[in-house]
Amino acid sequence: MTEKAPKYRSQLRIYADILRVVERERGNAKPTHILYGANLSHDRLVKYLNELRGRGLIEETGVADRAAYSLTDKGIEFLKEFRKISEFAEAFGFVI
Amino acid sequence: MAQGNRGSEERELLAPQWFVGFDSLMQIIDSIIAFGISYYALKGYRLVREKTLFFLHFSFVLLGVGLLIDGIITVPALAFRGLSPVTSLSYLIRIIGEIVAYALLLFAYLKQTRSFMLGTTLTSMILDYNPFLETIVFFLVAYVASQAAMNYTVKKERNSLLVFIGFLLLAMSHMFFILPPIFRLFFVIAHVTQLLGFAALLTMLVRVTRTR
Repeated sequence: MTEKAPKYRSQLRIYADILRVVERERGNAKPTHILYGANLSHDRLVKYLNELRGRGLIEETGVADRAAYSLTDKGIEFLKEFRKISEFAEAFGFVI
Repeated sequence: MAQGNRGSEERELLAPQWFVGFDSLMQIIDSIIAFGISYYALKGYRLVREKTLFFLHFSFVLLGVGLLIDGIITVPALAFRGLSPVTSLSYLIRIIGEIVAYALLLFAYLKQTRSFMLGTTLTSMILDYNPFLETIVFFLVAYVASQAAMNYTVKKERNSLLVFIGFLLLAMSHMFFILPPIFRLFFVIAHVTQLLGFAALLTMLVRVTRTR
């Protein structure tokens, strides 16, 4: 029953997956790291990175051709809250 | 109304004399914990827009409201016998709230597992303490507890264990709520078990909110 992961990831789950990779890379998350770490196609990666920047959750830290990303304070806060909610839901057996 | 007048008298018959009043206090504490869990589920729903969290929120709101109304109303009703019909109504609100709340939780579990749900028909019976309704709630919570147990066997995490223990104790409390006509002490045991069940859920909530 509850061991099954959802067949598709919600948009927020993808956001969280990307933010986790960015957090793990400690302010130097390159697009290829995020692409593999969050299991995304290139097109979707570009789309989500733009969305996350637009929402103020990540910021670009690299220079011109060496793009890299780091979490903003808002991004850190979002990830923290997402983890708590995820843990809470999983305690009841709900997958988000 | 004649039926309603039996409300608090029946309750006093169910509970040992020394325990009267403590049951209300315990119900009020239970309701505060239920509201805490519902608040956190709502916070989660607002963040991730996952419907199962909304069901969780709504079911604990129903549990909290029912327990709070029943807990608060019983206190003046014990002092003023004229309020007996109100006590009957508060019991009815609580028990129907519990049935709907656990049915909703069951629905959330079954929705997630894409299983079929047996249709639950609520018959609106205007009754005082009712072992039949308590039995329905018992089976509903027992099923929810079994889902929580399966979740724990998969996750093997302490929070999942606390949720399982919480629902198990709540199921046990409703089993004990069926038995007071046989032996009064079961009324006390039922309330204590219910409080322990909510305490287990509170422990999980505290652990989750303290996560860094």
